[in-house]
Amino acid sequence: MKFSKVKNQTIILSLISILFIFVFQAKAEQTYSLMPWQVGQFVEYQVISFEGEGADNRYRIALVAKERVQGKEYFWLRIDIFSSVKDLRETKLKKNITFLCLLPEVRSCEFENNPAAFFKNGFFPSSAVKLKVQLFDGEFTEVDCREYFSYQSIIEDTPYSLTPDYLGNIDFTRMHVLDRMEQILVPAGSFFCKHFYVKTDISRSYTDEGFDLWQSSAVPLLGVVKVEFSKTLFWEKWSYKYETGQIRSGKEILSRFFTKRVPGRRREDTCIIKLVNYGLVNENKN
Amino acid sequence: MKIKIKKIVPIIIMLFMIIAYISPLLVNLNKSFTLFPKNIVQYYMTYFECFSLRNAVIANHQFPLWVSGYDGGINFFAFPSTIYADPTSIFALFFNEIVSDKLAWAVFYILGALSMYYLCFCVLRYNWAGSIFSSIVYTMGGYFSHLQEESFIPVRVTLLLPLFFAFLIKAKANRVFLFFAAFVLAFISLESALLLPVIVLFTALFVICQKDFRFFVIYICICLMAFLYSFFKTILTLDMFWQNVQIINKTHEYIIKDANTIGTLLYRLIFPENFGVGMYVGIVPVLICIVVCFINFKTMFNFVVCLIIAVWLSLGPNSLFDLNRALWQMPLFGGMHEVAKYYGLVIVFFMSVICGGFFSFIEKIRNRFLADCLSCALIGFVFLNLLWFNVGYFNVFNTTLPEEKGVARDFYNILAINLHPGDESVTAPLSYFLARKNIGLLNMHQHPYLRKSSNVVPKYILLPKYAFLVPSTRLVVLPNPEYKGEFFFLNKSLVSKVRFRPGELIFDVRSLKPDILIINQNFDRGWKATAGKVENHLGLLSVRFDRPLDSRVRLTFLPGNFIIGILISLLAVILSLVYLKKKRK
Repeated sequence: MKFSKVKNQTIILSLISILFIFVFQAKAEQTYSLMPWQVGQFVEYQVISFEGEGADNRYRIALVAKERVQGKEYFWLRIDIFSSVKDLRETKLKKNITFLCLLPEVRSCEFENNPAAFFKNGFFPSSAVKLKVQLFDGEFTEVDCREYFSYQSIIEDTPYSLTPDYLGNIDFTRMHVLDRMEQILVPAGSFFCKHFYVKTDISRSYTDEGFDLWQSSAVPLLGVVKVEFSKTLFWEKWSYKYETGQIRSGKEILSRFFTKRVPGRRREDTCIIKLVNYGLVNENKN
Repeated sequence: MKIKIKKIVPIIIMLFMIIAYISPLLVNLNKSFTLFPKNIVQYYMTYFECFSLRNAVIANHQFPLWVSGYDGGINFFAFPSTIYADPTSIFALFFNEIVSDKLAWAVFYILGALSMYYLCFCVLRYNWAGSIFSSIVYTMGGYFSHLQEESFIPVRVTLLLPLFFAFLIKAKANRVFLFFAAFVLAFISLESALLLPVIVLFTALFVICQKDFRFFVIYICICLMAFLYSFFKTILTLDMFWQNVQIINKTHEYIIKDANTIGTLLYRLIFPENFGVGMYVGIVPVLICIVVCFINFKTMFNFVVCLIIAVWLSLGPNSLFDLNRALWQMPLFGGMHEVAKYYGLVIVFFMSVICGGFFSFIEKIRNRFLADCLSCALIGFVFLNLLWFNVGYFNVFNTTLPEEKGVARDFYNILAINLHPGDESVTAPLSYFLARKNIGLLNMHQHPYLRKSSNVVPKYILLPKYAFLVPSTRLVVLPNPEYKGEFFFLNKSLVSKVRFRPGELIFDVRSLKPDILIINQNFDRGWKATAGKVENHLGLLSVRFDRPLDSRVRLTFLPGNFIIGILISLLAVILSLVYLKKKRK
């Protein structure tokens, strides 16, 4: 009698566990989606460098208005880019540039099909239908998107384009999603997130870069909670021999005098983007 | 004749050692420390300086003062760490950036070794072995080679520090050396930036330890003479700080991450795997130094006290009693947040000098052959050890800088915004490559005392792509809708450019009414115009024309205080030479 009671309890517990797992998994799949766009939604991010000296620059992205163009609904997305200015007593935020872009909504289903496409482009305003730019406290100037983003050759014409800052590339085809949810703590709070990542492949090429991105459906717009990049090679941990194969075994001692001993890529521009604030406000005055 | 050979042979041996040490630099003369796609980013700033120097002198036939492309235009000659005033920068006029930089370093390594040999052998009266030992520990120690790899240019000239000490000590007995010491100090001051206050502080400490008031007066005279000799540059530096000074925004606690602890200092001195400031000299010189400090404390009192205080200061807030905090309040010292780096110079110098004293003990061994063998073994071991572990700093990547293609454009500026503050990894390479295209960068790596922002209007803006939540390190180029040109009249009078060179601007001006010509460069008092009045218009250079004008206007940058400075420096040198000639007679 006792045995059958224990057995029954075990079966019930197992069933509950299985049910829990299914529910949890369903929840995980749900968080893959995006919150529907709504005027007033905003997200605010902070940028911190890996080197410890936090840049503390801020980015605020908000949906400020709606507009119908040729029968189709578009949103005015406002991107404010601030930089932190420190003095002895306090840190102030100084606005550098604002973009007002007229964009179609990023729908959850589109995002689910190909999240990499959205992380690859972020809120880069080159695909906007209309674009207005405000520098510092100046006037908003409407610009032609195609023309406005067509000056890249200024850098590309210089050998700077050969430096890792410019050559650095993330292969989004290698993007993976961790099959379990992770709890991530950022200044805006704690979130259960999906973890998207691209691992740096050191055997591929020196400019190969990676990233880690945590996304939650509880956060508006793209739902980005935290981004870490670029996961480049570790400084002073990789031998020149391994990289170039120029050192022959017999000449190794001699070549010590003529080849670089400590290679490695010193990257101070690696950084973390963290969500510091998000929500819904009435901002359709602009 | 025999005596001369006996004196020359150790010098030749020492030079042979130093040349062997720097041979990778000379063998790979045209090969860069920077590698594509890898970077040792600070080198781009050195290359920028070499390029702008050659551009001013060879391409524009000017004295190198004004650099238009640096932060909206600045008197670069006034910079405390510029290579412009260093005579070895003459290499930059004849060779490319890589070769000129390496040749300058090679020259200073050799001069540094000779200086230390002179100090030890001729002034401190060490034997040949002690002198060679001190020279190789000082020159081949990891401090200079590590900072060379970091391209910390101010440290290069401080290789002459032993020569200054030698002349300073000699000046006590012979006044003639007062002028020599002053000359060397002036030379060091031209390029050493924040290392100069450290040198002045420790030489003052050394003099005070002698407990001789007359010596202290001589030292003050040396400092004054050095100030006069270097007046042509010092006056410009002071003027630049006066015009652009800003308060350092770092608190004293900030320096803790760059300060030593006793453990890290010993680790840096003993183990070649450096972190932070590389100072590898090996276990033998460190042990010898400790032994000499204990046994020979009385004779070496000045050097030992200076070494202890240097170590103490380098500990910063890590020490129980923070001596550095008192200095932090003083001007210039407040900018030294990398204390381990700045005080590392004097630690290595005093250690090297003290080490050489050990060979006077060896000399006391009765068996001369055994003593010589022991000396040679010690020197040989330390030489090979330092060669093995520190020569790696000179091994360069097997690459050269890419050739510049295309013609120079009309000059304009670019502003990079929202990069990490002080992020040289982006701005340093960018500034150099843009300069080669005749484009200026408005937020270059800045001196901590100088203002952070310029009012010069950029033609383009650079934004990091991650500002749009794109995980990418690339930069996006955006045109500035508010850009009005590099020169324009406020009331729309006509102006056309005839020449736009760094220190010389020529315009054809046609104004029918009073107007103001705005030039998109930082204002500086050193600008003079052939017509109109040069003014500061919201931080920009401008020329006010109070009446209608139809003529050619030439603006030149030649600060009045630079001419006064040159005259005073020349006068000081001539008077010194006259005095020396009289004294010789």
